[in-house]
Amino acid sequence: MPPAATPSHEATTLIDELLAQERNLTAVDRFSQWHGRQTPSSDTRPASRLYRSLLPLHAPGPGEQYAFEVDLDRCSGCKACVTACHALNGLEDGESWRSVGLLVGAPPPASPAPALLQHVTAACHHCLEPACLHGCPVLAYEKDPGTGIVRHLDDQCIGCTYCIMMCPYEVPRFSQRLGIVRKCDLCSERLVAGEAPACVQACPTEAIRVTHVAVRDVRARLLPALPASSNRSKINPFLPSAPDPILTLPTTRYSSERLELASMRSVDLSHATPAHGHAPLVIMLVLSQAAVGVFSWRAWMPSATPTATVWLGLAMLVLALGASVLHLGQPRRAWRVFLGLRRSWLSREAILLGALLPAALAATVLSPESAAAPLAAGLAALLGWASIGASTMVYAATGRPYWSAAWTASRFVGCTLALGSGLVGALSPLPDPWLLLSTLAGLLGAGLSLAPDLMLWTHRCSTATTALARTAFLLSGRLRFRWRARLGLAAAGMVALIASWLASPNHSVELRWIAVVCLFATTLLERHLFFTAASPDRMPGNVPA
Amino acid sequence: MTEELARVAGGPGLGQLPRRLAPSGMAQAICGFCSTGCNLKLHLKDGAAVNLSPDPNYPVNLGMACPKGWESLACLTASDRGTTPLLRATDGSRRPIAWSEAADVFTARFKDIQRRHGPDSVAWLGTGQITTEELAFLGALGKFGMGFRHGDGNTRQCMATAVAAYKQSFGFDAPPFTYADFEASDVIVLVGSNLCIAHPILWQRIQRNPHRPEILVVDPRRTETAMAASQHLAIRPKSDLALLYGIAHLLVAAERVDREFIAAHTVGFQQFRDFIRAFSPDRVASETGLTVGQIVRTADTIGRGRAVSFWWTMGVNQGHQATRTAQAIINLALLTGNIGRPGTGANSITGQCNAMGSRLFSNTTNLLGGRRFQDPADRSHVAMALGIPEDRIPRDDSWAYDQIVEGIRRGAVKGLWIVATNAAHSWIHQKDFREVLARLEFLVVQDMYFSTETAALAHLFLPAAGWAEKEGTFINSERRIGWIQKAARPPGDALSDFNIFRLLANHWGCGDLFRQWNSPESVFRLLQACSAGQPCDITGIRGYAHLAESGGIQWPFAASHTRDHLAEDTHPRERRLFTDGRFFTPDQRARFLFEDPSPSPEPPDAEYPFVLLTGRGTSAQWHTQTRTAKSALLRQLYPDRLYVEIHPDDARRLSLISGAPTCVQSRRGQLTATAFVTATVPRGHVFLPMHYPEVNQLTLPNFDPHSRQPGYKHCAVAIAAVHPQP
Repeated sequence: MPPAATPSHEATTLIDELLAQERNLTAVDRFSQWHGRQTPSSDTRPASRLYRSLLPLHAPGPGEQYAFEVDLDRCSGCKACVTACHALNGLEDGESWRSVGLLVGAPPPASPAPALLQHVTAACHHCLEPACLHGCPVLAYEKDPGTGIVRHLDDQCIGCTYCIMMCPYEVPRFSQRLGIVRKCDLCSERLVAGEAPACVQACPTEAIRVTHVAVRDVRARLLPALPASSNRSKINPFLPSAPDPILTLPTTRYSSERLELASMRSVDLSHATPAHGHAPLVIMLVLSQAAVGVFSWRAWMPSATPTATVWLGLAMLVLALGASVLHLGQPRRAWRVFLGLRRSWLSREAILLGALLPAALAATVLSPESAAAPLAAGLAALLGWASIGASTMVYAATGRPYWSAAWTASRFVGCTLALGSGLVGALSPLPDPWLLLSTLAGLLGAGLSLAPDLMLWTHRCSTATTALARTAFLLSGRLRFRWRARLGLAAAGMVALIASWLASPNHSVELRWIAVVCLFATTLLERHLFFTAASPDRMPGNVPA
Repeated sequence: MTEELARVAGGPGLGQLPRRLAPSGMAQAICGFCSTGCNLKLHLKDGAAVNLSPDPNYPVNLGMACPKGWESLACLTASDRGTTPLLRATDGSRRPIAWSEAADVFTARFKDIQRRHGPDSVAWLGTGQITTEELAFLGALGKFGMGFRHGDGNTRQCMATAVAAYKQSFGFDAPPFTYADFEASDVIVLVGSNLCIAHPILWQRIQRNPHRPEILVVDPRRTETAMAASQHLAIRPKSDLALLYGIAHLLVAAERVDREFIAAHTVGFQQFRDFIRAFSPDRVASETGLTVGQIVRTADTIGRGRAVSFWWTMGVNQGHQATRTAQAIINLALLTGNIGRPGTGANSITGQCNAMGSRLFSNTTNLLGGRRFQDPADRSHVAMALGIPEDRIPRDDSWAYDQIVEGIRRGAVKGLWIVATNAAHSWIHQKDFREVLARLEFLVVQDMYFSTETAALAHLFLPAAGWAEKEGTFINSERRIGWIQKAARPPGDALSDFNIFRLLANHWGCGDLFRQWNSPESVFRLLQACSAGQPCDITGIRGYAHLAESGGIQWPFAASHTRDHLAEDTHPRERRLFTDGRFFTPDQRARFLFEDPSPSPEPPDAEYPFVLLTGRGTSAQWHTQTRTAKSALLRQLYPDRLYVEIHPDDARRLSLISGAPTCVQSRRGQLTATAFVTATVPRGHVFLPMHYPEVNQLTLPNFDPHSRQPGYKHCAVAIAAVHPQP
């Protein structure tokens, strides 16, 4: 092996020199173009285009608002808008307020007609009836009366992420670093300065523009001509496969001359992946409902509900409230939750649960003999049931079929009855008829809780194209083990309840504990699947893989 | 928190920017992904780039960029960036070593192999992804300094066909167009090009065309570009040659040819006319699967066009008769006189950001400056320009990529140096290629990331700086030389490729030869001297500052030319070649070149009944994804796992639904992909996006005889549903 030609001493010097060169960034100064060196100019607008053609010349007039308009015939699917939104707005790693999905149209089998594909860019639709705004418990959203822009007030946000559930278009994005959500504001500061929004600036084919729309026209376009109760046309006047625009009245307008849009559907229409599990919410809902069950027994049958049982109910309630605060991105701002009372079900739910705590505390600590005890227990039960109503509406308000008011109420009421009665039955040596009553209430609750699962069975099909079918697809597919466990545990719990009644009094208590454990487990799974299996209609997405 | 998003005026022409990212200085860099050559303004804070936006004043991109360009900086910060050289021990583990040891090992091992096995025994595989100055340094160091006989680049995989076609037809590798031609045509013919996805910023230029052009797209698949076409010719894969000859047949038959141009500026028309007589519309219809009416309409559209431009990319370049197919396109332009005028041309759109730099200055296929190793005058010119002894310059061409691979297989090549390319992912018939690499005594991989499929196989890994972490130039598809500034520090002890070459030259003992190669700009001057008198003469460029001031400069830009014809401030920013009808052949005439179509090397059969097409997936993915997979945002813009596109009729027959795991098998390997049932692929065909590492396990090693470019676009596969095990 020949020796290295250069003495290592010299080489080391060269290496050091080269490494030092790499650290050096002064090279950029040589030709740096910057303010001082350029001709002074008062116009700081991006120079790339005459944006005037892509922006209205003046602010919206009365009865109008700003809106995005997308010329699908010009959109080539490059997705520059997504990255420009990220870069020009300084968003988090991986965060953008624009997304691009794909619509496809297949010709009928054996037809020579060509297939269709069309990329669809979407940001916030600055809806006439913004669901995010209506859902926000702390009034962190406002719809500007002059421009119609739906703005998020970052300093107000408590990070509850309820707006993400409320928005059918998945527009608000949660920032882990900040513990709040943020969203597209149509680059309102840019608009004021006569600049185009980032996505509009960045579209190489000028497919996105900002226009004025008349509120009246948006309603006329999106609302069915017939009363809502009649058979609504299958054609989505907003965009094929997209969420029903009747929920929020989105103002973005998609247009195409070359495509029969109605014949297309989103590429991931039949595709579903498990959604976020929201474990703190699962705990909050299940424990608070179990607690309401206990307090209801306390109010109705004080003698069947000894103090130890009530203390357990109180402990569950405290845990539930703790979980609900901990799930916030900004727990220290939780106190603001009452602000949205007038329009947000989440605010109402939080206030009712908050009020339930002192009532429950009183019902727990007051001696059953005291005159105020029935009053406190009654109040706790009342507030508890009201909070269950509010909880139901929190989810029903999203418009997701899987979370419909009837199904959600069935689950929540079922949970309350089953867990409350189960616990009371297991913890107290109930004489008949209370034992029978608690068994029956437990069975009724378990049955109510199961009803949506059973109804979902009818939505199973080989190619899911509706929200419920996608949920059924998930439950019998990727979530099948959890779902089977849920159904099996529910059945076991019910059998144990019946057996405990038949076996009373000999082995009754053991069987009742088995029933309670099974019912708790199945309800936790039910609530986990409540979140993970929800697959509402959404904007077109990517090719699923 | 509101403050997080508050926007302030970013500076002249920048518009509002987040206050946090408001720049305190600016730099510029030509994008480091594709050959479009977009200029990106780098927003600096404390001298380092924190953000970027596309340059509105650059004549290429006019203020636009695709997602890859926008996310260029995100690709630089990744945990798998190489920060120190890594040496593999006998137990297979890799340990960090100092640069001095790395250079020692490099020098000792390669010299040892050369001593034992002769000059053929070491080779390099380069790239179109590093700067012109760097790849010239690699080529000069390898061939003149270290005595490597064989070197080639990954440009063999994308552009070799265009090179061979232009050289034979025009006498020089000279893409004649400027992007303004997209806007000046009234007929635009795109062959094997999904411009919308592969070159979105060039699609912008078509959208800006004010002449409501007819857009003809030749592609078996219904792509985004085909969707936007006024005529989509969904031909059978690899029947393009027959189609192009059939169009020529109809043009000649209808006398829609430019007799005057043909007579004055071409050679071989008579033979070509006789040859295409056999390509009747009926025959072409049966071979392409089109109707006679479609073919006639296409020929008619082209024949009537006032300014017809023809554009092609990988659908043409990666085929078993690729060079003849590219020349069939060139023939149409010559036939109709659609060349040298605004809105015309037979135009190859290049792939990588510096494929064009590689074509002229990598010192592999050509001697520096697009010269010939065999030509004594060229050797003497280069020796003079570089100040090196003439006998250092080899007198023969070196092996092409596939020949180097075969050299390794038969034991002729024992040592290989791979620079900035992920061959173990991208080379055709991947399993075989990896087995061949395993035969090497010594494999050096120089890359930004230690994690690439290829770097993972290296005995010695050299960590390189990336785009914008170094200075230099790229040459884009329209021959525009653009400048990249350094605006970021490479991580750890990573060195720019340029500085790695300096270090290795010094260590090898040939530092004296490269005494003048001490900065990118000084190398640029040497390359200018090499180009003197060539069609690509760039002697008129006065350094990097001139490039920056001019919005890039297209070659040719000869010193004599600028003195004689073009005043400083009047040279047009967009120029095309052959405006005078004079080509670079000795007689200044272009050639009609043609050959009978031959069947694909692996037609589908009963066992493997489907044709596998491969190509680009989305505009957010670049080649083997070593960089684009580093951006969290880009990752959201494409499917995270491999999918296979299959026609609904075929899917029905095989009981496949979208989302189902599907086995795709060729004679060379098999993989599992998620089915995407879509009528955008023809019946009997499936499509796999090339960005996923498994895909080249299936592809068939076959090479165009003229360009030696691999034919990635066609092989036979079998498809079956994978039933998940219970």
